[in-house]
Amino acid sequence: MRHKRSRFILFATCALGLTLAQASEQDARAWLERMARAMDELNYQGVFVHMHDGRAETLRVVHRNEGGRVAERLVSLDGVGREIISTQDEVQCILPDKRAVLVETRTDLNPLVSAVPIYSQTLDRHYRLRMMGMSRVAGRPTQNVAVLPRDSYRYGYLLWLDEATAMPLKSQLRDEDGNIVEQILFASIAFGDEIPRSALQPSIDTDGYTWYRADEKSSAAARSGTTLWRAARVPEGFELQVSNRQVLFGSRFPVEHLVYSDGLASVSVFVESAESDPDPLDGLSRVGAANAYTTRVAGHQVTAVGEVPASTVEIIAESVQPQTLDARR
Amino acid sequence: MSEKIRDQISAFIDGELPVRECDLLLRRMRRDSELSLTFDRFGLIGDAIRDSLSGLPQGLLRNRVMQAVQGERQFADRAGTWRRRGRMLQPAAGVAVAASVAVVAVLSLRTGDPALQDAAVAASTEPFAYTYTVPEPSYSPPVTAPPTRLTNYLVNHSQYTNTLGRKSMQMRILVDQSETDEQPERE
Repeated sequence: MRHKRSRFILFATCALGLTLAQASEQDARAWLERMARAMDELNYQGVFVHMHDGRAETLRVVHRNEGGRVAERLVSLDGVGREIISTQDEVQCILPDKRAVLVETRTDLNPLVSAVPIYSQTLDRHYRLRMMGMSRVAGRPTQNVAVLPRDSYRYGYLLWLDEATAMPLKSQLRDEDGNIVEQILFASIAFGDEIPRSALQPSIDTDGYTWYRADEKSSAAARSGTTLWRAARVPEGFELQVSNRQVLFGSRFPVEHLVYSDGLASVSVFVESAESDPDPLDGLSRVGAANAYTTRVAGHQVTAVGEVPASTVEIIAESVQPQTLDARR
Repeated sequence: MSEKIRDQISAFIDGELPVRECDLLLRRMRRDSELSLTFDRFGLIGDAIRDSLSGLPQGLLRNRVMQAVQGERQFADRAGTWRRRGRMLQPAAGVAVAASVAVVAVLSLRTGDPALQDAAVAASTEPFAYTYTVPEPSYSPPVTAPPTRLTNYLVNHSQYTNTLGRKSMQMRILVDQSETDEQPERE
């Protein structure tokens, strides 16, 4: 009788633990969904610190949603004061140090943007979601959520989400071992109904700057190309989401662009003729937490770039090969 | 010229720069005469610090440089309010001190003025005292330069990341000006 009771207690404890874990996961998923909506839909402005590699930079963000039309201005308050202004139609990067403005036209080809975040059940195979209690950031109470990678091919997040709005007031990008790769921390943030349009205007006079934007005619011609490139080997969970050909701003040569994603992390692969760049990238490059790896394949320069560990971009780039028409999917 | 490039040159001279970065640096030096001159200057300083320059008493220059750098450290430690910035400036200050000392040494050698050499030797026996002027950074107005290929890729890729990743990627474009120094694109 006593053994039966012990077994029952053990079973009940395990069942309770499992139920709590599942509840925690469901709660975490709900918070992540709220976070993604908050980042897009709310009106807010604030100052935050971006930390990586022992460096810290201060940035200001102004985010405006007017009837579903979202616009955002990001300004670096340090250094030369680069700015990025995003609207529904395009992204402008203003680079005073280069007296240049890059213009990336937004396309409807991106299934990720419309579908993101995809905090679906399929993520479970590659990430664990957990509620991590409560604390305070920038004077506001937060719910803390962890997105933990199950292997070393992707990074995880620790997120401090504003209890009232679900905005991430603090986030840490972490590798599989828990090391902080990058950290973002709001020093101040204000939510409001009205953000004046003027707050989204650049503070830099771009007179005399060179504007780089993709040539539409060239892009159309590029899209008519027939060569197909695919990565033969990708870490488990990464699937091809986007494949297109385009001409990037400031370039005259077409680039094949592939996007692989596991639903949270994504890796872009750019393939272009090696002749297009007399001074090509080579091997591993790092920009903040983003890694890029470049190699040469069949007279082409192949670069994989993404917010993933170096091994992931290397594996993907090294496996990219041209495909015959028969191999099309 | 960015602090990072200076650090790379210094690491290169010390044989501590990764091979891939060596290639990039050498390619860049072939194009950039200012960089090339900086490399020569750093090399000269390195030689001076290692007492490779002939005609100087063994250890004299190294001791003076080390004393100067130590003096800078003490100064930086006192500057409590600016402690973090002070730490960042220490290497630069050390290099500036080393540069000034090395220039004095090189000039004394090149002019062949025995009085100067004697003075240097004499100075080493005196209690440590030195003055130097931090060189004014040469200002060159920004010129139009094309964005790097990696910047192009990042801007494009930022459209294909999740909400959190997109913002994060854009921040990198904003703050990582150093990568444009490493990989200048030429169309």
